[in-house]
Amino acid sequence: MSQFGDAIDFILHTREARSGGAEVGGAELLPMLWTHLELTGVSIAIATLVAVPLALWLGHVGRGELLATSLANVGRAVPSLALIAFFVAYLGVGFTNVTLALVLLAIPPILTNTYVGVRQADRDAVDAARGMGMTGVQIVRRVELPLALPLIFGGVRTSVVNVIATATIAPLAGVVTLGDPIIAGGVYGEDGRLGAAILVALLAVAAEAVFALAQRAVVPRGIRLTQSPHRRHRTMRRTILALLALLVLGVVASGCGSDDDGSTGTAAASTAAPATQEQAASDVIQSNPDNASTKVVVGSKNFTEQKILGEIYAQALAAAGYTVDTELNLGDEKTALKALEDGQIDAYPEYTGTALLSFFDVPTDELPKDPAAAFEQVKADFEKDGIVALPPTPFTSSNEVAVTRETADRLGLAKISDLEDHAGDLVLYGTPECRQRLDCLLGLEQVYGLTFKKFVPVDPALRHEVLESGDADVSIVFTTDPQIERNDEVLLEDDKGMFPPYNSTLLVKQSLLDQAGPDFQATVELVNRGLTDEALQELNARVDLDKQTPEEVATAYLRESGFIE
Amino acid sequence: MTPLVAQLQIQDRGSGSEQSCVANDGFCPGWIVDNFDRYLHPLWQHVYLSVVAVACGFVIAFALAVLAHRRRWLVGPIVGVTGVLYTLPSIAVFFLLQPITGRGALTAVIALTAYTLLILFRNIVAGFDNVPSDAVDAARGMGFTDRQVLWRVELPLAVPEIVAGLRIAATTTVGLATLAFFAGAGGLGGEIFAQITFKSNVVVAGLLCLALAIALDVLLLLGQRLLTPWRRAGIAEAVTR
Repeated sequence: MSQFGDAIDFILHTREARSGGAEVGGAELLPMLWTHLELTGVSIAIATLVAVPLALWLGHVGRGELLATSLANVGRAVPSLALIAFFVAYLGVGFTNVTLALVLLAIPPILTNTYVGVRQADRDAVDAARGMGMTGVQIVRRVELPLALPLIFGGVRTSVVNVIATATIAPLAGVVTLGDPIIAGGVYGEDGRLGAAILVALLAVAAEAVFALAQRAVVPRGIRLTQSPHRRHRTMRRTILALLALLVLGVVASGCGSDDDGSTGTAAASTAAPATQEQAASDVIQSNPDNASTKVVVGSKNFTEQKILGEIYAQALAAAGYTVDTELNLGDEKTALKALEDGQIDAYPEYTGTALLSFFDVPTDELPKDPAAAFEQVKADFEKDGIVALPPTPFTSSNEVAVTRETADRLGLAKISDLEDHAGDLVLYGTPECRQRLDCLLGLEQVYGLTFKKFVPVDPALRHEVLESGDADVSIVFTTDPQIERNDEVLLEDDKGMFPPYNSTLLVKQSLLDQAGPDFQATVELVNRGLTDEALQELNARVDLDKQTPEEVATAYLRESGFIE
Repeated sequence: MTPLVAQLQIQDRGSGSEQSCVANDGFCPGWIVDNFDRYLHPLWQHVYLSVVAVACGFVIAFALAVLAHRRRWLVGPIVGVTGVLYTLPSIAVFFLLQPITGRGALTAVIALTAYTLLILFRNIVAGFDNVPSDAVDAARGMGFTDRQVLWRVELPLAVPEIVAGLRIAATTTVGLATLAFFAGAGGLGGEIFAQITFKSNVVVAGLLCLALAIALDVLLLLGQRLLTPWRRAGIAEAVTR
């Protein structure tokens, strides 16, 4: 339970990000909270302005019942994630697009409740009003609307809670709400993730309470008089219950659980043991039955190239007879290293440059330029922590500063230092961890002295889309990305030597390597030999452009290279 | 170092309309047909999460409703507590539970179950309340015990409201389960998230969620018709009269 204590500390006090470089938590959460509220407020305002007049009119004339009632049902079935993803895929990222998606999400409950509220307005009251000579507009404004107000507020309240919940996944679309620490756990750490989850939960409960009170306040006096007096106590009771609820969460946790234990485990790397044929002069990995007792969990970070590498090592080791499981898509480099240190995984591929900058804080002017030197330095540093860095791949995949051809031509950009006069007008997109990395935003600020107009953190999967859609002027991409050629992007030359060599090395726990025997390293070194620059571009293209799965692509690599049959 | 015997085949991606549709993240019917099988396992996970959560939620809500049916003062507190659970954003709960229950299907099922409680409880209570008191009195007059009244009179007559609650709970749960991959439980949301910019992928996975919600809804409706044959008879009678 101390994890919850640390999470609350994260909410209350500002601290350094996990690798230093940026401040997170405490007061730094306020801009996120503000964006969260702004997004919610704007979406609800628009949805109310659209839905209430429409439903008042439909209800008044008594038409569109099917629309009003079925809309709520359909609205419930549309997953919010699918809605956001649909908008990202078709319209791109940004505040406006997310707002649009949230408006669509917010309309059904408001529309349905308003409609029902008007239809349920006491017909006698409406008839009386008509008898008194009121016009249609007067009836709507002075009879039907006041009578429907409690239900309208109920609809708005439902929508507010829904929108607050959904705004949590807005960082997927480049809008930094309170969901950012949850989704980008690597930067903020587990405390940040849990802290933000607590904040979002409190925000939703608070909004619910405020609107419940408001709903009560707008009940017309005439109706209130006819209600039983002891209802008032329920507000206080509810507040106490809200506090109790967090406790109940824990009780429910142990309550329902036993029914569904041992359900869907993590899908193992499903590679059948290869046939062990006698074959001379080939690179086929031979299965060794002695290895079956060694259990290896291979991990990876959260982007295409990493998932492919993770799958390649997992399948190759399985072919060598090891019992292999995978834990791909762990998050950023800090998360992956922590998983390795904590024993959640036994191995994962890391880039030498990333290790030097993110883990060992090597200053830019001391970065080795030679790939072999970079690897030796990384290897020596990891050795102290009981981690072995296996010999690196031939390919190197650096961070790159990318702009569109159009931007490069317009501003005359060829080198990163050319950005000097323009950075103040340009928006930079990068992964959330970019803010604290010397080979990313931090380096651009400190080494090149650039101050961008704005930095927007975004999921690595969107690094090219934000350039294409025009949301980003500058984006951080990887050397081996096939989209660079497809989109005709321009990579700016690193003229001040900010980027070290980025060959990939498989990091393995020393203890596991001792247990696994010589086949482990031999297998890894064998499959590494085919991993050239061209090969990685091809493999990335098969996933990012051809939409094959990393698992399929890894199998194809091993087969086409003759490592498995 | 000796050269490798074989080498990875480098493909030329210059041409082909289908190829460029997929490469440009478009909506490509051909790709969807060829790759539909990759959605089957996540779909199954999604079905599993939704069905188990609703079933679990139903058992708990039903027990609570029976309890509250006898002791009316319990209705307020139960609605209050399940109401707060319903208010908590699911993505927050998926992470709040992880320090306690770890990553995986268990965490997701607990969170999803918690969401169904309010809807199911309210509907089951409403169902019991709407049972005509004449029917209950008649049963008692025939010497039924409390237990017999519950199982043989009140429960069957409450089926329409209970099924209405199950239908809302099922569609809501299918929607919320798209976020279950944050708890490490897979499901169709994981597929959406894996290639969020690829239109074919987003549309197929999104539509599968919708289809699943509709399928569960229809199944529950059919179940209700099977469980309440007298209602159909009643409707027919009303029409002929």
